[in-house]
Amino acid sequence: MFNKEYVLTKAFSNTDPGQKATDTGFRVRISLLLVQHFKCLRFAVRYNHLERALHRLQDHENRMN
Amino acid sequence: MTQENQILEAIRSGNKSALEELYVLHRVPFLRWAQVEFQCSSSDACELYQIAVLITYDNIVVGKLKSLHSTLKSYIYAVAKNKWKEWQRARSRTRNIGDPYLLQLIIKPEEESTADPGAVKIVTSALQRLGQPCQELLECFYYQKLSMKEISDVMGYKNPSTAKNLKYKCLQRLKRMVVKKIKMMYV
Repeated sequence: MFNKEYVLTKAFSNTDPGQKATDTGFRVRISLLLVQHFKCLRFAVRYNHLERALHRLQDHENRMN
Repeated sequence: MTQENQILEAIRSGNKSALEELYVLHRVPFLRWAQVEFQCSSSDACELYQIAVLITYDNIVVGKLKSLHSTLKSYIYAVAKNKWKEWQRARSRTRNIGDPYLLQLIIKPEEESTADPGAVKIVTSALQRLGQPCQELLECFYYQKLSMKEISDVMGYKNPSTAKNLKYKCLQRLKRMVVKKIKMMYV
């Protein structure tokens, strides 16, 4: 689990705290965005599967005609 | 076991040819019936049949259709009747509705309430670029909800551990692709 306090402590314990905090903030922001994006993974997988299935049926139909 | 029940079981167990088997099973009588029932062309009847079959297939996979109270045939026909008006409305708005709209008749975007449409687009596109066998493996796991044992059988791997390792690697690749896109778009 993401521990905000731990990350901030680590960030400010460096000799260049400003830079480290920026890097950490950047990584945290990316991680949060990634989590947000992966919430729709199941839906995206289902959508892709059905899209390919539709194409398979269309190809099948074309072969029959 | 009837042929319809065999197909139902085959779809549930991830059999790759089960969808085509279902499609062929009632295609000819459906096309004849739809052209009379809806006074439409054979190509329109065909498109409607594809939508109805895919909705039936999706309902079987996601567990909405667990057992048959009548027959798969009557289920497909009922879906087609329900979708006909919606499909007609779509066609009246635009001449060529294309695959994206057909897919929206099958899978509603509003079902995905936990993520914004931008996120869905990014992940969908990353999945498409992921290629095989990752795409199929993730579909077996997240869509068809097969166990690692079933996935290793369907995809022809030595054992469930191989499937598990590959799934981990595929997810890592997918994450890297999504992060790359996020960095380009948001940061």
